[in-house]
Amino acid sequence: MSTSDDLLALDVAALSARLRTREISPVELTEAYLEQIGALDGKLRTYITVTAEVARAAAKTAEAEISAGQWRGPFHGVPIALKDLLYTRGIRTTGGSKILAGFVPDHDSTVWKRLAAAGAVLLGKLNLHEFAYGLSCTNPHWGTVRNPYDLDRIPGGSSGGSAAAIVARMAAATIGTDTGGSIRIPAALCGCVGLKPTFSRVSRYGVIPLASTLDHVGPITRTVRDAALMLGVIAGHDPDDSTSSRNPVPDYTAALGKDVVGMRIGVIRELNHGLSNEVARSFNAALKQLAAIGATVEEVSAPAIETAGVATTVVMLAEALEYHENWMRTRPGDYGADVRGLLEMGMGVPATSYVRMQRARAAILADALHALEGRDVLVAPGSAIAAPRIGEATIQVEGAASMDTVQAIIRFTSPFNATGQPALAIPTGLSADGLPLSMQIIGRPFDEPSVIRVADAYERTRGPIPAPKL
Amino acid sequence: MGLVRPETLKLIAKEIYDYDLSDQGAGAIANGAGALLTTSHHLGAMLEPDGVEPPFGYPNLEAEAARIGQKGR
Repeated sequence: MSTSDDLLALDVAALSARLRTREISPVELTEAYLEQIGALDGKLRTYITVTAEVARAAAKTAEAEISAGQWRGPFHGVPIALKDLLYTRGIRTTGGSKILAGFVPDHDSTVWKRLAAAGAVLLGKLNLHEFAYGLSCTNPHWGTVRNPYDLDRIPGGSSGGSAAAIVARMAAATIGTDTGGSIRIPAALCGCVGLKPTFSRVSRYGVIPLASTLDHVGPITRTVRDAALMLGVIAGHDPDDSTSSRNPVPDYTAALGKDVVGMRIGVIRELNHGLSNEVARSFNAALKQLAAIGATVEEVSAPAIETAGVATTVVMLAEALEYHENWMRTRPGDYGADVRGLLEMGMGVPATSYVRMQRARAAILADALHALEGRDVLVAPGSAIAAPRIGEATIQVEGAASMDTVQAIIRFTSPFNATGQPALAIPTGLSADGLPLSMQIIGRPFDEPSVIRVADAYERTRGPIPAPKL
Repeated sequence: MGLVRPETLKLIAKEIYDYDLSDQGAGAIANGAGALLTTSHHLGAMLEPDGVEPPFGYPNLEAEAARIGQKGR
């Protein structure tokens, strides 16, 4: 390869093929990424910690191993980064907070342990909304993450640094977490792929919790095939996470390169209104594209999905406060005002409401599964709007009353945290203002292969999304 | 409809969490939590989860106990 730009333009699948044949050197690739981080991070604030020396050492090891014919798999020598919510032994893990600013774990999260064993090179730890409790990534402690397509707009969150780093080519792949939409929202607003796997598919061990019964860990990547590759590395039972599934992990890449002829796709009626004109236009164009490549696209109703987000919110408020209770007592002034406000709100949630909403989750999932009867996947927009401006508390959608910005975004994603279903956000194009627009594809529990198959087929016919001008 | 009064919230915060909630914070939370609880009541009524077990399985309870035991607690 000739220039750094050429190297940085490749997705993991393309890099991996060239790394394996030694057309690319992991050392050269890592230096190109570190240079890009050095050039752009002051502007975008995507990283909290850059682990340059750790990365260089890992790249050298990878180069030696690959040269000796010891190829470990598709992530061998690939520079990646982790949301700073995942424990990394000997490397500070802040959770995007002041409270954990000096915390250095003595063990790795299972997800990082598996990626490291696969030969991945760690570039650093990515910025996020404080403790993953919010979707703006306006972080008072580590700087506000900017959307690479418009620096005056939010990247979405809470995994905003993970998505911004992908589209700004500051990492080849990243890891995010998702409790109410925190993988899919930043992927939607930044224009990349975000896959929230089925609850329990990926271990949460060594991940700072937001709400234990809603938290998911998953990939944020340039392409669907990269998400499939990364999920294949991180999925699987973990004895350190008793909630992790013992279901066998399929080969997710087997779902790639297939058509969707004969597949049936349900458009969720309850999530297909209150959209901006541009989101509606782009979403409808994506539906037409899916039909054009052979899928049957039809409207379905899942009435409980309309208000299912409240179950996620009530459970999140209670579980988050339980985790933070001691710090709220001893260090309340060390939280940002918005996160402290949400934790205070948790004090107003009665135990009866928490248990009732936990019980409601089964009924919500039953409703979603009913909508899936005779169908392969469901689809919905990724958000009602494109990325809002930083600090924009309310937004106006054509033909509708002014609405709360958070609600305009999270109502599309949070129902699938309550149900635990796999859900993937994929870009559908850019708005007239050059902002990314997105669609979600939702499957049955543990049916990530169908989600990946539809997303990959759509992505191949959609074509590339123009990169941001930075 | 607010189900939680600011005064009640301040009392809960102090008595249960040993946390001093400001008047302004209590007012905002009472509105937010009140609206949320109203919606959750509606959702609960719509879904009729009577007889539905909460998703806390016994296998997880056993596995966590075994994991704690292995750590020597």
